[in-house]
Amino acid sequence: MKPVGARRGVEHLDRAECLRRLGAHRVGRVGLSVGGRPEIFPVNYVFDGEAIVFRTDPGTKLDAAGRADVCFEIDELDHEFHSGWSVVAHGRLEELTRYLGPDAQRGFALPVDPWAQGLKAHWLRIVPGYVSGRRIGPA
Amino acid sequence: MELDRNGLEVLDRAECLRLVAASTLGRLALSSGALPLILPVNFLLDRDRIIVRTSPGSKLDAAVANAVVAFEVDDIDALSHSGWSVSITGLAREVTDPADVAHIAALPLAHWSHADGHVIAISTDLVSGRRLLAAGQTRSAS
Repeated sequence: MKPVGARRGVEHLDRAECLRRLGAHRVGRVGLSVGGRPEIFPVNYVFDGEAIVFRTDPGTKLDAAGRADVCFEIDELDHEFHSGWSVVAHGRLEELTRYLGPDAQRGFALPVDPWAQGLKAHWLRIVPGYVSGRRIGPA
Repeated sequence: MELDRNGLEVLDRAECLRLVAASTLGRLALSSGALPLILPVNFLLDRDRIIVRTSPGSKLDAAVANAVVAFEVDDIDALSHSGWSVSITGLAREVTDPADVAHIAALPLAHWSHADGHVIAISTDLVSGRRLLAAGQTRSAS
């Protein structure tokens, strides 16, 4: 193992690998700008290969749906070994509705069970456009 | 215990900062090219400010512009569906005062890939936190 704290290169993950990691994770963070001010919301989600889907109640995230370019971040970082990876996907935040067509309807079938209480009757999706990922330290 | 409309326990500022002080990894959200970006960072809470070490790049660009950033720390267990998160909104500034730089250099702030970076301080103007308890779990008397 390389010494902790030594300068090490950052390995870039390709799109397929980023999407694979998105599919294997369940908790991520939505980043969006509200009035020019960045905000972060942790959410539990499901990625089916096409869209990141999560549920919400009326509020900041729902207000932003349909008109906001957002980012979605997942990571797994080990502080002790100074290693880990992160993936960031950019896309438009949209609310899933019955009118969006079959591909969107498929989102409703995903097992997105909110961990917090509340109705969470609104389903949101982010279709990843630009995706970037990096890995640092020992694999 | 105060609950929000989602049944999450609302954490007060003191509790939020206590949780943040015990953490070393957070996520910084900033606007980069008019788009939001989230970056995981090592950090340290020094008094009431978040200290991040960075190499020249987007984080620094945002910081030196005295940008408002969001900083988030969480610990969420995907198995028990429980955990907490704290969100901080503040102003990011590069620390340039020599005495302050020396003070920060003596702090145990880990850096992952760059030792030659700049030091950024983020004020903790707005702090909010939530705790999600697993089903059937009650608040421990910790």
